[in-house]
Amino acid sequence: MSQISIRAEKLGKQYRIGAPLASYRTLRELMGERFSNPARGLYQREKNNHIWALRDVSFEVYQGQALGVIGRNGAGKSTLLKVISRVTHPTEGFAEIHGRVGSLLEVGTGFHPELTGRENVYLNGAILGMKRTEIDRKFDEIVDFSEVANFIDTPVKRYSSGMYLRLAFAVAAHLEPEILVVDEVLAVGDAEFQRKCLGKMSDVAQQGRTVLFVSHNM
Amino acid sequence: MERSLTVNQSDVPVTIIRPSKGWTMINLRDLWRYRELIYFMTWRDIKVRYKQTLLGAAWAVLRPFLTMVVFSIFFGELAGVPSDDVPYPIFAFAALLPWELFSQALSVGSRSLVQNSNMITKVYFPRVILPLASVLAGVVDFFVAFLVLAGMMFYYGIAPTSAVWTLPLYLFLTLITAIGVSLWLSAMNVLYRDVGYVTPFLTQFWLFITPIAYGASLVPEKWRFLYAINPMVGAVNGFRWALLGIPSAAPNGMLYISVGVSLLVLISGLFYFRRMERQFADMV
Repeated sequence: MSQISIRAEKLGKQYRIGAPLASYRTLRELMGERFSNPARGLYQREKNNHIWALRDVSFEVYQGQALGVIGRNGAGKSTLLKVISRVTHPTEGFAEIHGRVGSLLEVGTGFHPELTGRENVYLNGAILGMKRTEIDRKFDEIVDFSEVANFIDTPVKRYSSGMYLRLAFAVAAHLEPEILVVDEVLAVGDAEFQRKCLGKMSDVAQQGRTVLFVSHNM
Repeated sequence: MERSLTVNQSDVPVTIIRPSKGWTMINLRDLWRYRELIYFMTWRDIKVRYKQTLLGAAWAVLRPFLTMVVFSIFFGELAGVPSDDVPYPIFAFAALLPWELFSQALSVGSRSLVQNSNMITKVYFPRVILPLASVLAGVVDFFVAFLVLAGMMFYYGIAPTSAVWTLPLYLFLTLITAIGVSLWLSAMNVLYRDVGYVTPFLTQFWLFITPIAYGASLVPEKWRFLYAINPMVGAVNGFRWALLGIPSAAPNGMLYISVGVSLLVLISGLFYFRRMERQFADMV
């Protein structure tokens, strides 16, 4: 049972800060910079405009364990989840992930407003890494959970924000990866629905899957 | 209730996360694992393309058709551009089919990463799926327009040649080229939004250096090999040859050059994309 699930060693992620590089740049700006001040590139590298969002993070999570990461805004929680779920690459360090990772850094990723609820369930499921047959099998369950069965063939742009979030969460809650990575997405919908979500999440943990959860409050 | 997921060591995929540096090839195994997402994203792009438009999928026909009409009047009639003994409208339309596929793919493909930035910053999947799906979605438009071409050929009493079976190969060449260029443009667009301004101009420019309004036979012999560096020359000539049997468009050395350049663009595009990929989530 005590099989390793996630092992992280000295993970670090560095971001550049400062106006010219943080936002997107255009070729003209880049050339202008080079011409107007050829030494600037060198100068900038010396200047300390880098920030470590994450540094020296080492931990081990065993299969079936749930690890909660709590910290204030800007502590690097989301960055850690992004690195673990392979959205972004670490600057240094190493991690080993045993199993498929389902990442819920946001609910409804890839929902398209023009598509119907039904279509979005399939699309979103596929984006989160579900197989088509898996979605087919769970479709009714997902719709039941979301409580928007009557509107399942309506484009989601006509949904109220609550309906939208419920459907989005319903898809996410039916994800069955070995490792689930969650970022405060539970803070959606009304209190009753939140309780339902929490219940679903604890089911997940009891099924022997690993959960990595991030929040800024207990 | 749900069955609990029993996991044993052997069938659990192990992912290693570490800083990546240098040039690496696209991860084909990963792409294969996500093959269903390619299908779903293509399907989404097809579904969404003509949502809330009055004419809907008719646009797939109208664009090449109206271009064909304008070309026929100005190039075919007024300028008297030779069309190798085939009625000019058919001559132009057979070339416009692969061209529309290509130019649409460029315009949609180059924007694919930036437009889906919310997905890129929130969930992992092989990023190459985005430009790939937006190019593949255009194939449906191609087939709709193809029916119109078939109707026109019937109207003009032109039977396809015995080489018509090679048509899928030229369609494939068009797609390979479109994917290669889209990989370059979409990845560059993440860093440099100039691409958004460059692409329409690039497509317009490319239209003139491709034998759409005129025949490749118009290009002087000694320049043909230089001309064929444009991979769309090979693709468009192929369409004219396979459908209309125009002798000057028959496959020759030019086709090999076009195919070679197309593959070069695709492979270099895959490498460039892969190299830029690791910055996408941070830069988009």
